[in-house]
Amino acid sequence: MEVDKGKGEAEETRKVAEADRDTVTLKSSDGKLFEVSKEAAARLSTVLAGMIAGGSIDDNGTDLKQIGSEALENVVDYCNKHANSIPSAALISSSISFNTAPFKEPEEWERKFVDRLSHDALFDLVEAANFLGMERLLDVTCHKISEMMKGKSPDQIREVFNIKNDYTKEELEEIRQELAWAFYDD
Amino acid sequence: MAFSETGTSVAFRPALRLVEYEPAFGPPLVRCHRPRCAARRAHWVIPCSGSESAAAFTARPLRRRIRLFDHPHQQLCRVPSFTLRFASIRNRRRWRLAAESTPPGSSPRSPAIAHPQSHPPSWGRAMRKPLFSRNRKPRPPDKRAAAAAFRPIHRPRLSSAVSSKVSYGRRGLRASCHEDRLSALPDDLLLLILQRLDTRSVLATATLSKRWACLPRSLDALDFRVSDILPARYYRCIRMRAEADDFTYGFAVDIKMLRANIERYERRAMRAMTSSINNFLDADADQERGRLGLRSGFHALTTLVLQNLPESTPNAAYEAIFTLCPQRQTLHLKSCMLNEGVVSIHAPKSEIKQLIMEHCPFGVIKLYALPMLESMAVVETIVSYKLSAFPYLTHLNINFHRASPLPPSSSGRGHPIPYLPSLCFLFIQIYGDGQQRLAPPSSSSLPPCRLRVYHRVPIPCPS
Repeated sequence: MEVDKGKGEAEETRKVAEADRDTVTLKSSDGKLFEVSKEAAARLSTVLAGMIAGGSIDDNGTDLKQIGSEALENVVDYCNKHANSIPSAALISSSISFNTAPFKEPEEWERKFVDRLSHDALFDLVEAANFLGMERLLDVTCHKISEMMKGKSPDQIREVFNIKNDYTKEELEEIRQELAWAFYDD
Repeated sequence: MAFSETGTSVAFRPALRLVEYEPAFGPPLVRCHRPRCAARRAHWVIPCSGSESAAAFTARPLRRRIRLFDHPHQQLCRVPSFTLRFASIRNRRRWRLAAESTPPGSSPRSPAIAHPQSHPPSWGRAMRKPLFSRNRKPRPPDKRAAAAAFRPIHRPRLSSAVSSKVSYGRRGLRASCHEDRLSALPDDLLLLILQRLDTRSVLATATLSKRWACLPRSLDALDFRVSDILPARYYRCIRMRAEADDFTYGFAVDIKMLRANIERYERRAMRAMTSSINNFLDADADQERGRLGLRSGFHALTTLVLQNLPESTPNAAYEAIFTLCPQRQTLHLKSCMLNEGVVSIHAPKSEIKQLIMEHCPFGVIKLYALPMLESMAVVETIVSYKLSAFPYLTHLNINFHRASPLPPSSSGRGHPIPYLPSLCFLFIQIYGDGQQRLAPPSSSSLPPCRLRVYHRVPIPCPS
């Protein structure tokens, strides 16, 4: 009886300890484990926040089958860096874009963070951010991709991103006619 | 399948109408009385304010409304621009056309914004130095800029606005392997990327591949500004004129000539803007009429299965599914929660051959016209139709619960078993333990041949 009680107590303390733990363990598709602070994860990722709130976080590593280890490493890296950074006034600066919802310009460290990524790693990161519902990271990575497209002709964009042109000549001519605005130059 | 995934590409076209005009964006344009004004005929006076005059304009066809902004003789340095806001999936059925007068010369930032790429690097330097010095040195710092003021406008070679001199030779940016990661992203991510680009670049991406064709039109807003296509030479002329007013160059500059050049640039740009926007909207209208399948999101789609759509899906979405996607032949609605109300389908141009609706409770689907329909299956769904609307129907499969009212599928002969000459396979299943029994059809109500009553026909199901 006493042993049982002791066991129960131990379990209880372990549970309390678990609840107090301020990190969550994430497991990538190839089985690698990453730790990230609970607070940052909940703040940056809507999906992880939901999992933490719903109690579906596994102590031995929450399985994220869709995310490879490299992308997850980047995600965790981003979370850690984000926790250390201080939001600057640049975040609030409005965009000159025509879009109704102004997006925030990435900060210097975020720029550097995505700049060092390779092409494939960047797209892996976009997909991971999309999967985890990390809006800020999605903003930063999409900004990076749009910067890669900025000021390029369609041919150059096709070359950079390996996009295959599946228009026939006539279709291309027609669509260029419709979008004359883009191709007008005086 | 969540609807939003398909929704972005199904491309809900907004009703093209002017929702609001904001006079605050600029002074209303007035009719041009200049004898040689190109846009004279096409020009309309914008209502200053007041909802009734705005309402009168909404009744006009769209092209007219676009031409409201055609005026080339804006005061110098005040070029109009406007924004087309399209309803996207997030912001449906709401767009607005707003006129805006931006003085590009007065704001130091706007030329740089409007022309992020098209200014040559020397442009900034040329601006800071006076183009002519007072002592009239024979060689100005920027030969081309000075020459442009004096010689008639020439048409330079065409080069795309988006071609640039910016080099992007950073390491690691090239795709390493031969797959297209960008086009593989879902639509909403691509839109996130596109909305960070300027309108002309966005439109240019439509020529990348068919995957991209409909994306620019799914954006919330497209911004057409005359200042986007005014050449750098125009701004140079504006600058020279301003300086000439201060006699920076003495009397070396022919102000009349300069002014004529400026006006010519503006006029030409305005014409180009008008025709481009008209082209753009014409194409939009073509697409709405379904003439060209090129830009609809799923132009090659032949089979669509929608399952477990939530109740919040608007009925208009279902209706759009029928009318858009001209190539589709099979549609399968499975366990979709229709919200209360009627989904009325009127799609005389649709090519749908097979239609399966099962377990879609809480709503009524009214089918008015689906001319190519060949087989239809209805399982526990309230569908109202007249069989005469389906001239080619050959297979019909109806299942209903005894307790529910009989489907109003009768052809007007007072019998629930439909009559249709082309019908060759009919399967009706009634289940439940009600007392009512369906009388077998009398032979007179059935066509003499080709019809096998209660013949169990498995209608091929798309996997």
